[in-house]
Amino acid sequence: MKKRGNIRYFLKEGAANFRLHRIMTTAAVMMLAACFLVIGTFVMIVADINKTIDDVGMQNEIVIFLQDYVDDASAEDFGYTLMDMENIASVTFVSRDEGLKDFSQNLGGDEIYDSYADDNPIRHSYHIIVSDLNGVEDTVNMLRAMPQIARVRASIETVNTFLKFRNVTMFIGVALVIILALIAAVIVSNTIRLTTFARREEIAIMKMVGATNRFIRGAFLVEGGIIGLLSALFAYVLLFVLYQFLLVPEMSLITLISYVSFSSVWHLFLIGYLVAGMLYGLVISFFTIKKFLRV
Amino acid sequence: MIQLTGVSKTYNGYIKALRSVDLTVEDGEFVFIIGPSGAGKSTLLKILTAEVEPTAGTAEVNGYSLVGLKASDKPYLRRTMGVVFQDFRLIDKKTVYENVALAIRVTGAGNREIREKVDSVLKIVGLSHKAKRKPPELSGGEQQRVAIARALVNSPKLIIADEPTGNLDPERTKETMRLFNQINRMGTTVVVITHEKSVVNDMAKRVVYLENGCILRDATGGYNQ
Ligand SMILES: Nc1ncnc2c1ncn2[C@@H]1O[C@H](COP(=O)(O)OP(=O)(O)O)[C@@H](O)[C@H]1O
Ligand SMILES: [Mg+2]
Repeated sequence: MKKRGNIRYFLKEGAANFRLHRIMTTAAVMMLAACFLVIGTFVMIVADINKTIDDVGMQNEIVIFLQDYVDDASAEDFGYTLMDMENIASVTFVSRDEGLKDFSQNLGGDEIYDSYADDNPIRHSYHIIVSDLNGVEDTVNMLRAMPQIARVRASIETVNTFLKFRNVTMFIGVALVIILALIAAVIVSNTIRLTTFARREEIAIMKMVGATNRFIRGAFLVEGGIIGLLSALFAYVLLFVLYQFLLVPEMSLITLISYVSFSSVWHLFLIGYLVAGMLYGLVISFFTIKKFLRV
Repeated sequence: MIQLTGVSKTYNGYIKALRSVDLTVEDGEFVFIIGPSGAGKSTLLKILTAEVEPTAGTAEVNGYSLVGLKASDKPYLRRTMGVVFQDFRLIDKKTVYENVALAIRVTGAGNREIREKVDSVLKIVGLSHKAKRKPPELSGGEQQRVAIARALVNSPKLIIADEPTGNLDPERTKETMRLFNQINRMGTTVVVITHEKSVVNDMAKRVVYLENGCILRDATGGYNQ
């Protein structure tokens, strides 16, 4: 009961402060929102890259195609040679015939199978699962060196490219976010300082009538919290528009990249943004007014 | 209750605002503290409200020792007293009601308790009808009564007023003094600091005369010299 009365009062005070210093506060909200927007954009991009990596295939699978001259029997026997190698967990033989069936099924027509059955262009292949991903490059190199093998297809290489891309993206994202967060902190802090300064007379009166520092802090914390929450909401809407209407149509042109749909993560973003926004606003205002209360 | 023993205050190491002051004010008393400008009256008030700490001596107010008082205890000391200033110290953008309510709101009181107490003190100072106004819309005398209402709202044991009538005409001054007398009769200790001898002479009360940081006279009755 007691607490609730105060919270209502603080909310009123915080909102009043907010109105009184519209311009400064709006600047703070914009800056913080920009910060959140950049974080969100990078998180989404990284999520998309991760999804792409997953979709590119089982990361530890290698497909090898045997030379044309290898006949059916030795092709089947080749599995034992493979199993004897290091770092190979399992091998699955896909004969030329099965390969053609898969191929034509993927393209959606038995006619393809029928027309190529007599002159099958597909090679014998093995789907190999490695036991240790870290050694996959060595395994690929060893396979490449074998004369019976015509081609080695390892999705790991594509994956590696994406991984590198993701790391660079994350690095840029983190660096940008740190810079923006610092700028935002300065702006939010200045806003709170300004409103605190404008009300130092009021603070003195509050102290005179027996207000604790905690009480005085209350209204200012609420103000910081409001700035944080508004920024979060604003950034959220912007991110949605940016991602859904600009980024996705653009990206879906590049068929290689899979994208995470915003609708599947919107709640995570909303909650994350609101919580982060409020905490950020509270922390900044807490440290800003700490100085003012020491008198 | 106020108990000062050998209290001195020196500003910046050489400005002696108070020199070994001994002063006891019992609960329920009405005391004037008078003296010329620069005598140390406001410094005395600041010591009582724990705004400044004595450089020497011991001081106790309403059970709180003012020497070495922890910052976290100061709010609680201040809630045992109400302070009224010459310049009223009201928040202009808040209503009369909110100005008075502030003093009780800071104690964490609920809204119902706040409303009851604020309504009751506004009635005492005769400003119930102006509760929704803001200080700049009021006359000086009315603003001073708002400040007095704020000082009263926590039902403090002690009310201290520093030059409360300095900005008021003689008629408002009399009115304000009548109000303090009424408050005192309800059991509250009242300390009025002033340099206006006429205010003091109208009332037969204890008068403490301060000059150059020393108490030169402490007796009941008007001040005539
Ligand atoms: N914060 C301060 N710093 C330095 N000197 C001060 C301060 N406050 C008061 N003084 C000096 O202390 C003396 C007493 O001042 P004050 O207590 O305000 O007297 P009064 O209220 O009786 O006019 C004066 O000489 C004044 O200049
Ligand atoms: Mg003075």
